[in-house]
Formats: sequence, C-alpha cells, structure tokens
Amino acid sequence: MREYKIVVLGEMGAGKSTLVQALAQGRAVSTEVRNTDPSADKPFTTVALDYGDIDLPGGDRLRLYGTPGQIRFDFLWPILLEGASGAIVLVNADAGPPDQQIRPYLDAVDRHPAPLPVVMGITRMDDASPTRRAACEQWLERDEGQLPIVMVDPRDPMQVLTVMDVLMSQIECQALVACHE
Amino acid sequence: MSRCRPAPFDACTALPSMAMVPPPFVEDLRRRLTGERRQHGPVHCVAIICNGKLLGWLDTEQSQAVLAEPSAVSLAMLQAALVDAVPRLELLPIARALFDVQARRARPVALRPLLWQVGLGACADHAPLPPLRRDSCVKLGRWPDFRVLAHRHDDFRICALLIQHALDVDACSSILGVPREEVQAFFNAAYLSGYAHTDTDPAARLTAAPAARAGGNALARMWRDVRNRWSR
Amino acid sequence: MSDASPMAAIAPVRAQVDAHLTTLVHDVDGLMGVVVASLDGFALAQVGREEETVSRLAAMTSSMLALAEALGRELAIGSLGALILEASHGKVLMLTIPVQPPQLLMAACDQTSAMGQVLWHAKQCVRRLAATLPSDAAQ
Repeated sequence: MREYKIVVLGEMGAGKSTLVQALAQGRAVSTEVRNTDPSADKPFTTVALDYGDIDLPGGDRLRLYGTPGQIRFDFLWPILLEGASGAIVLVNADAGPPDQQIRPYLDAVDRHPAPLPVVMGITRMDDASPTRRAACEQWLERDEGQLPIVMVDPRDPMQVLTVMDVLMSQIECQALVACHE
Repeated sequence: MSRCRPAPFDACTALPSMAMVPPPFVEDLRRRLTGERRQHGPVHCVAIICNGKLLGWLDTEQSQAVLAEPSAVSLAMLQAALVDAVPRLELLPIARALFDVQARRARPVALRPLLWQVGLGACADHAPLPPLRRDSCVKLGRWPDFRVLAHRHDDFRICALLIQHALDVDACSSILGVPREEVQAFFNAAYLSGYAHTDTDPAARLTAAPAARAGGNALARMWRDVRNRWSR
Repeated sequence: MSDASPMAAIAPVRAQVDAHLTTLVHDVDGLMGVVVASLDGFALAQVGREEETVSRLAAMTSSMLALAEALGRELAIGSLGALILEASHGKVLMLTIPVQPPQLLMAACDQTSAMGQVLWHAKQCVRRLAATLPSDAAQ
C-alpha cells in the first residue's frame, strides 16, 4: 500500500481545518482548543494538526494534514511537510496583504528538500472589505503568477475539489517532466 | 434596455495618419495586456476597429471590455477577423472618458475571460490563431486567473505543463494525452489573452517521447478516479 | 472566549504560582525546569528554563497534549490525565491543570529522576495551582 500526503498551511482563520474536514467528509481528527489570543477573533484554534485520509483505488491512501497557523507552532511545519507530495497554502482575503500572509508558509515549503507542488487558495473573499478585496484582485493580477491562485470557499466541497484538481495537475506534470528529463 | 449607439469617430483621440501602418492586432493587444503596456504611457483605453467598423472598447488598465451592440455580432466579427488572411483589425487609442461613457451604457465585462473565450472559439477548424503556427512553441508566462478557465480538468494539466516548459501543440497533446484540437484551442486562448508567449529557445523546450501518456503519475490518476466517484 | 488573556488573568496570583513551581523544582531530584502554559500554547509561568526556549516549550506542550487528547478520543479512553515521555537522557511529564479554561504543566527532568516521584509531586503541584489560578466559573 502506498501513502501520499498533502499538507495545508496558512494563517489562523484561513480555513485550513475546514478544508481538511471537507475533503475527509467530516471525519478528520482535530486538535482544536480554545483560542486565548485576544487579537484573534476566533473561538478555537488548531494547536497540533488536522488529519484526514481518503482511500484511493488499489488500497493506496491519501493523507491530508492541516497545520496550525500561528508562528509559535512553526516547529511543526517541517515535521508535517516531511514526505509530502504537495501543499495548499490558504490566504484569508479579510486578514491583510496576501503577499505578506503567505510568506512564512511559502518559506517553509521552499525549505522542503524537494520542489513541492503548491496551490494557493484565497478564502473569505465575500467577507472582505472592498479595500482588501481590491488588494487580493491586485495580487491576482501581479506579474509573477508562477503559482496557481484559486478562490475557494473551504466550506464548499466542489470548490475544494477544484483546488485539489489544480494541485494534482501540478503533481502529475512534475512527474511527467521528471520522466522526460 | 435601449439599443446602444457606438460613439462617433470624432470622439476618438490620437487618430493615426493613414500613412502609418498599424501594428498587427494580436501583437498590439498582447503588448497592451502584458508588462509592455507601460510603454504606451497613460493610454490604456482603445477601440477595436474592423474595416472601419467599431466592434468595442477595451480598458487594459482596469481589465474591462465593452462590446458594441449587438454584442453577439461584434463578438462573431472579432473572431472571424482574427483568422482572416488579410488583416482587418486595429486598436485605436481613445480617451478614458470615452470608455467610461460606453461603460455606463452597457455593463463592462472582464477583459481576459472575454479574450479567452474569443481565442477558444476563433479557429473553427482547430487551426492555430495567427500569428501562431502549427509548430509554434508556447509557454505560459503566468498561471491564468482561474475565473478565466472553463474549469476543465485538462486545462489545469496544460497550465501545469506550460508554466514549466515551452511546447508545441503536438508535444503537449502527446505528453498529456489530450486531443490535439483541445490543446490548440488552449494555445490560441492563452496567446490571445496575453498569458502565453512563443518561445524560440530550444533549451526551454521539452521533447515529447511518443510513448508518453497522461497516466504517468499514479496519484493524479487515482485522484481522478476518486473525483469522478464523488462527482456522481 | 474570555476577554482577558491568560497572562493577564494570572498576573494577580503570579507570585503564588511561581512559589508553587519553585517548590516543585526544589522537592524533586533531577527536575530541571517546569513551565505552565495555556491550552493554546502560550507560556504563562516558568522556573528553571531559559527565557528564549520557554515559548517554544509551551507551544510544543500544547501540541503534544492536544494530540494525546485526540488519541484518547479515538480510543475512547476518557479525558487526558498525564503524558510521559522517556528518552535516553531525560524524561518529560505533561499534565493538565483542571481550571477553566484548562492549563498545562510541563516538567522536564534529567535521567537521575524517578518518574514515580516526579508524577506524585507534579500532581500535588497541579492541585495547588488549581486552587490558586483563576477559573472562569461561567465556562
């Protein structure tokens, strides 16, 4: 049996736990506890990981890991990224400049020993103020654009599946290119 | 809704002299869409003219477009003119105020998705969109805005491949196992909307092995199985 | 969620908390340091550890205990009491402090310590801390 791992990173409140629960069809293991940080308007927060798995054909398994978003738990990120096939980095459109939000998480992915396919997901666009929505639109239009950025509501399973489709496309192409080189 | 009348020509500014040859339409459009648009100074709004007939207005800074009514006719004329052997299309700089007038008369649409749709359907016989050729190698300069893509799974795969490597249609079709006509339509759309460029550097190319098939990666293949099950 | 952070809540009784922790370190052979942390990994009090490592230890303790809780739920063995780590050069004991909201105690020991002694004294300390720390009765 082969096991594959996808890791979800992003700031607190970006929707990581929700996304993992959506993919695991509500059966993911959670390590949420009460949030005591008064600067964060969120009642609960993940302090270790979310874990869900999906049975693949042939007995293989896809493991999904949601990470805790706060920097004080960054020691867990490389541990959870070890052996990963790909990563999803979520950005909360209502939480400030997207390019600043993603920096610590992309840095963690960059430190992964092998190049890791990554998809970025913008969440909570509907909740964001007009200023923050405009900032996200600008970020989408930026010139670099070397990583795919998808708008996603992690509560919507179909949108979550689209994010996974994009990630799987990258994983596949990385393998196809490796075959040819 | 009242029928919109196109603005008269005398409302346009900076009319080129008849002695000047306008740049090829597709290249002119792409330059305005990509980083090179800054070379055009403060002029971001243009009118699309086809043999003297106004087809619509574009704002490349705000990435918006307004088609002249009836919009379906303008769209069809644009698609037909793109593949004409004799160039009939040109972009005419206009004042922003003129674009704003048109935007108030008819709701603007997002420019890139419009161009993407135009590019997808421009070549009925699945031919390359001029100036692309059948053997043109194309590379994506950036991932398209996903609101542009038709959310077809194969489009994601083509994006993932072309963002890394320049390929011609045959190589891309062979590596991914996607029908040639679908890949050509993607190339046309990505090129017209400014997301892709031609690449003549052989080092950036990937040579397709004739036996390469899309099922080369087990995880992606299994994911598609799971996805299909969940979608039922 | 309480309006006051746990750090602010602990401030009025900080001296007593420090005294309880100091007593624990004094009473147990081989106990190198002890940290009190919030459930979500903020360091609230400590004795015997370097300042720069305390915040990481608090976060790690939170992660470890949350995972242990999750394991306990999977196995349906009830709420978590203690988590013991034994390594070649030392041991670590982690306990929950039964206040509202719950807090965490992490005791780090060298290889000379006897876990039975550590566990007994640490549980005494937890009882004293529970009596000292503010508890949100509304929860």
